[in-house]
This record gives sequence, C-alpha cells and structure tokens, in this order.
Amino acid sequence: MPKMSLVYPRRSTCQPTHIHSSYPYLGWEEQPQRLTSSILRTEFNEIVFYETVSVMANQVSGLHQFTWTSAEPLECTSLSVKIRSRDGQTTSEWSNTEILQGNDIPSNEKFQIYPIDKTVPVGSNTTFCCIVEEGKVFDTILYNGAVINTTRLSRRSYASTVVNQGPSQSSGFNIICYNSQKELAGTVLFVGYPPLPTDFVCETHDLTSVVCQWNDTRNTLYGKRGTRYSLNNRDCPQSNLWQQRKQCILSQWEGNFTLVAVNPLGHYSLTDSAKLSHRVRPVAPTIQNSVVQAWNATVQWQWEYSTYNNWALVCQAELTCHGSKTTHTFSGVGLHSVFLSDLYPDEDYSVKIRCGAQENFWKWGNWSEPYDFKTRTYAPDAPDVWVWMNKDYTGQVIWKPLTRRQSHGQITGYEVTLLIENGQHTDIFSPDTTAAPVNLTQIAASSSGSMIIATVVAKNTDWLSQPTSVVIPLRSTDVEPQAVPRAVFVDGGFPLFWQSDANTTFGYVVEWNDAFCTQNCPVEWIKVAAGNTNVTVESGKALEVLKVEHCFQYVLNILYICLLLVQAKNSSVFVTCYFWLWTVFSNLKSRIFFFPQTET
Amino acid sequence: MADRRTRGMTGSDLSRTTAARATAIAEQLHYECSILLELYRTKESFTAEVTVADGRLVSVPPPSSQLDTRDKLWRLHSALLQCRSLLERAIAKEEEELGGGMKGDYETQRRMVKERLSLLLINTGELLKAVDGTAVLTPDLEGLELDGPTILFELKLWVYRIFKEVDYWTKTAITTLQSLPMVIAKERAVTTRRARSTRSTRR
Repeated sequence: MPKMSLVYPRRSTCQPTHIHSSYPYLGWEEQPQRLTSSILRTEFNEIVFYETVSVMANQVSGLHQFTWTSAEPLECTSLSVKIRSRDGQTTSEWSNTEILQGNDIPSNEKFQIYPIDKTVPVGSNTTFCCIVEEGKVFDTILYNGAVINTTRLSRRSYASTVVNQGPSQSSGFNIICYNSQKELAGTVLFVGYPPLPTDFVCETHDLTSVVCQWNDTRNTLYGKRGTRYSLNNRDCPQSNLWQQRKQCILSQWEGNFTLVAVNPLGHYSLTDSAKLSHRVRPVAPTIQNSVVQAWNATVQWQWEYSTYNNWALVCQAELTCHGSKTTHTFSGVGLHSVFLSDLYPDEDYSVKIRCGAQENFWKWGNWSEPYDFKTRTYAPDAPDVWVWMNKDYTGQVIWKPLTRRQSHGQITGYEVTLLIENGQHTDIFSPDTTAAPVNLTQIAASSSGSMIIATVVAKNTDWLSQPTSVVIPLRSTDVEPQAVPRAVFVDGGFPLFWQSDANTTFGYVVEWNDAFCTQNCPVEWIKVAAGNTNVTVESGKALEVLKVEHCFQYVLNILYICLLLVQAKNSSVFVTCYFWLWTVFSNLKSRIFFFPQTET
Repeated sequence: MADRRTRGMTGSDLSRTTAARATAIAEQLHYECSILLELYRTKESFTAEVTVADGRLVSVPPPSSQLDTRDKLWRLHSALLQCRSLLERAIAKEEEELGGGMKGDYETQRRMVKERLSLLLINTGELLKAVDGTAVLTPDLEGLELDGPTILFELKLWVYRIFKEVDYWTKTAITTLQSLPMVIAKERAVTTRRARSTRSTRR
C-alpha cells in the first residue's frame, strides 16, 4: 500500500524542522515524542488525516518516524503534509508544508486510472481512482462490469472503493473509467490467495529419482502471478496451475525435501523426510505374453526400469471371468511372471497386475493394462446318464446336459451306443438333445440275454469325454426299485430316506416322475454313493417332471387340501404354500433303485 | 496419372473449386470470429461501450477500384498473413501473462479461429499461385506492432482489436472471393493454351 514515511530529527525542544522520507539526523532525545500530523488533499483542502501519535526514535537512525498508509493510491491527487510536536499542553509551530504531488496536476493531461495491475488478497478492500483527461468530464467507473459509487478527490480525480473482494477469474477484474464522451481508461486487479500447499509427500518410482506431489486447492492466480514452486531450492517446471495435484521431480533421492511455494501474496513451505526404501511405488508393468493351458496359465510382463530386477516385490494379479473377479498375491525379487492355476478350460479371462515393495511396503503401483487370454479346451466330463423304459420295451436313454463348467469347450454332440449280444449300434445326437429313444421290442424277443448296455459319450470341438454306461434290463430282474413313502416338504426340499442294502456296492439312483404319466415320462434322478441312505430333492427339481396336461389333477388335490385348511381354520398363506408344494410332490412317484449300476 | 487428372478437371475447374472452397472457409471463419468476440466480451465483462481505436493494424495498400483482381487477391492474402501473425502474438502474450488456467470455451474457440485462418490462407495462396504463377509471398512484418502493450488492460484492448481485425479481413475475404469470375475466365484461357501445347509436344 502506498506509504509515506514522516521522519524528523531529535531535538531538545519538540519543534520538528524537516519532513523527510530519507536520511536521518542524529539527536539525543530518548523519550517518545507526541506528534500531530495533518494531511490534506491539496486542491480541495480536505482533511484526510489529522491525529496525534506517540513516536519512538529509531535506534539506528536516531529519527522519529511513523508511517501513514493512504487508502487511495498516492498518484490520485496531491497531498499537503505538515507536522508539529506536542508536549503536554504545549504544541510547537507547524513545520513547513510538504506537497506530495499526485498525477492530477495540469501538466499531466492524460486520462489515467490507478492502481495499475495490482494483486490483493481475497477479502481486501481496494480503492481505485480515475483522473480524467484535462478538459474532459468524468462519467462512471465500472468494476467487473458493474457501476460503483465514486467520491471526488480533486478537480480531475475521482475515487471508488470495493470492499471484501472475492477471488478474480484467471484474467483478473477489469476496472474501467469512462468520461462523458465514452472514452475509457482501464486497469486490471487480481484477487487471490497466498499459496497454501498441503499433503506434501515424496516417493520413488524407479528406485533412483524422486517424485514429490502436493495439493494446492486455492489457486486463482495465473500467468506471471501464478504460484512458483521450488523443491530443495530447485525450481519446479510450471505445471497446469488449475490442477489441484501437482508434482516435481529430482534426479536423486536426498532423504529430506523442502517445498517452497511463492506468489505475489505470500509464501509457504512444507517438508518431507524418509529413506528411499520406505517410499517405493513401482510403475505399472507391461504384460508381454502368456503360456496358456486348459487349467492354468503363466503370464509374463516387463518392467520399464532395470533397477527392479534386484528389488523384492509383492504383486497382485486380478483375474476376471464373466464379471467375477479373483485376486492372487505373490512375491519375489524382480518378479516378472505369475502362474495362475485353478482356471477353467475354454474360458475368456482378463488379468491385470500391480506391484509394491515387499519390504517396508509403501503403496501399490498402478494396475497394468488388462491382458486377455483364453484357456484351451479339454475333455468334457462324463455325462450323467439314466434310462426310462416303458412296459412295452420302448423307452429312452437320458442324460443331463453338461453345464459350461463340465463341457470344457463347445459341445458338438452326444454319441449313444447300444451294446447288444451280437454287436453294437451308435447314433449321434445334436448338442441340445438329452434323450435317445430306444426300441428293444425285437431285441427282447430274439435275444436270450437279460440286459443291454447303453453308453453315452459327450463330444466338444477337440475332445471326447469318458463314456458313461447304464444297463437296460430286458427281463424282469431281481432288481426292483423301492417305492418311497410320501415326502414332507421341509426347508425348500423333500428329504428322502431308505433302508440300506448289503448287496449294494456301487450306490443308489433315486428317480422321480409324474405319477399321472404312464409312457415316456419325464424323469429326474440323483445318483447316491454307497453308504448314503438319504437325499434331499430340491422343490424346483421336483416340479420339473410334472406334465402340464396333468395340471387339472393337481388343482383338484390343492382344492382338497384348501378345504381341509378352511375346516381347520388355518388361513396362513405361508403354510398354504408349503402344503401346495407338498401336494404337488405327492403327485410324483418316487422310486429308488438299488442295484450295482454299471459305471465305466 | 497427372495427365489424366488434368484431362479430367481443367485448371479453371480447379480455380473455381478453390475459390468456392475458400469462400466457404471464409464464411465459416467469419462465424467463428463472431463467437470468439462474444466469448471475449463475456470473459472480460466488456459492455458495448468498450471500443477500440479506429484504423487498421495491418499494413496493405489502400483499397482502390483501380486494383485488378490479381492485386485484390494479393492485398487480401497479405492482410490475412499479417492477421495470423498478430493473432499468434496475441495468443502468446495472453498465455504468458494470464495463462495456466483450465482451457475452456474461449481458449478452444481462439485456437479454432487461428487454425481456420491458416486454412483460409492455404486456399488464398493456391488461388494466388493459380492466377499469378508465382511462389506464395511471405509476410512483410516490418511495421507490424507485434510486441503488444505491457500494461494489462491495454494488452486486453490490443487483443480485442486484433480479433476485430481478423473479423474485418474475413468479411473482406468473403466479398473479394465472391467476385472472382474474372480470375476463372483468365485461368481458363491460360490452361487451354498449356494443354494444347502439351498435346502437340507428345505427338
């Protein structure tokens, strides 16, 4: 701010002799002096300042000095200054009047505005003045496009004050003065903040150089007025000032770091200190290639810096398949590959890698770009096969379709082979088939054998599965399925129990079908290992075998049950739901086969 | 291949095409200049009362009805060259004094005007070559005020004046280019004589 220093020499009397703004006289007066200052605007003889203050002598210069700050720039108008001293009730004579000339004197005819290109902190009050050209008439002053009130300082000089200023845009506020002929003079004002960096932290990416980062969120000064940063006394390159996160790089790790931020409104410094080994943050690796099998893959990457070759790293591999992510963690010195196990054949995977320091872990580095690969195909699982025979020696060899996880590749079809006494016959079925019809009428009549073996093999694009075989008995055999008593619906399923059979060595097959069905019935089954004598059938699985054409039968049963409920005054919907399912399942005929089913 | 191209499209066709293209570019540039001026006024809170000094910034011979089409084209091309130099200098000074902030619509539009002006200059240069057959002139920047004021408000008015200068010469370009049939007729005569000369040589 414009300041005028008033100095006067020490004297035994309090009579000031000179008003200077420069060099001192010597005196011996040690006591504070009471000084009355009078400052007037010269042209209009208006008092700007009239006060008596106590002023101590400057120990070096020996002069008494005090500073008065003008609200308006000193260029705005001429000021007349005089002083006198006071000792109790006694005052000295006034000093000579000193004229501090403004720029509104007749010899300076130009159209002017002040202050020029100033920078002030947010919240400031700033006074501007406009000096119209000699012979012209003042009109208005605009601050950022808005007219502001003015006071007249002199014949040609007018002043306006803006209080509590908010931050300016990057090009500052324009203050424009117009005369009555719409001629203009202007100046620019910048309102901003002193620097206040935060979150200063340094790390290394290449185990040699330093990258220090910090935030500075209050940046509103740009260009030549923007904040300049230096790190350990070295200037940081000017970065995009509007970005909050900033960084600066040094070529060598120095252990102690000092950031200094400077702008026209102030300065600020922050420090950070650490060992290099405690601040390692590796860069993202570049995945180069992979060796892919059906059930595992090895992924290899490259590091940008050879300094990693001797550094103990811990890395994460994030594996994505069908939107599902799994993370594997592994470590080693100079790590640059990973073995991924427990994959599934013929699946698309995406993997990305990131690493950190294994010792004194600081931060994970950035993830690599995703790397896509596809596992190889493999032999499908052997299908789950069963058989349904009607009473007339017709029937179906049935199998459950392989799931994606069981297929290990795109299923291209199923081969069904019937092995009979004098040969075999093979048919190929499309991949969406789950049943192969069989007609054993002629075979049963002509053959003396008691059974036929049906074998099913699943095929995908590159492989064949192991075969699964079932026995189709041609005669009534000793193997008689055991009927299952009606099940009770419990917790979303139907638990079934049966007596164990000492002759059963390979296990049991529990099958169920629609009780109203008599020919080529949809059937579901579960194979149970020997030693187990119970299984729970899920209600969904139970309902799958019901035929639509038998719905009327089911409804009758339900109505019957509802009648019972009404009579029992039990109207709980939840209970009714359970009873409905129970009723439906009671329409299923459940059988359990006990026999040494041929499993190959 | 070149002969086939010549036979497919005559020189006059090329000139007509170039003139039409240049006119379209000038019209586009004029539109973009008007947006740039509006963005600048908004950014600086300039009311309609903010005016700049009269008189041109570029230095070219005064307009005259005595100028033939070739001279008009030369005058236009020279003015546009100087405009581009002024515009580049204005952008550099703005960035030096006030730059570093986030690039917004104003900065984007400013760059677009500069690039469109460069494209217009390529086309007026081609027209000048077609008419005159001489190499494209390099701008004579002597006398062109490229330093710019040091006081910021004066710098802002200087930048504003340059944008208006570009706008003025863009409008002049549209008028000049639209009145170019004389150039095409002349070129048709020149190209026909050249084609006949080539065929007779080949025989």
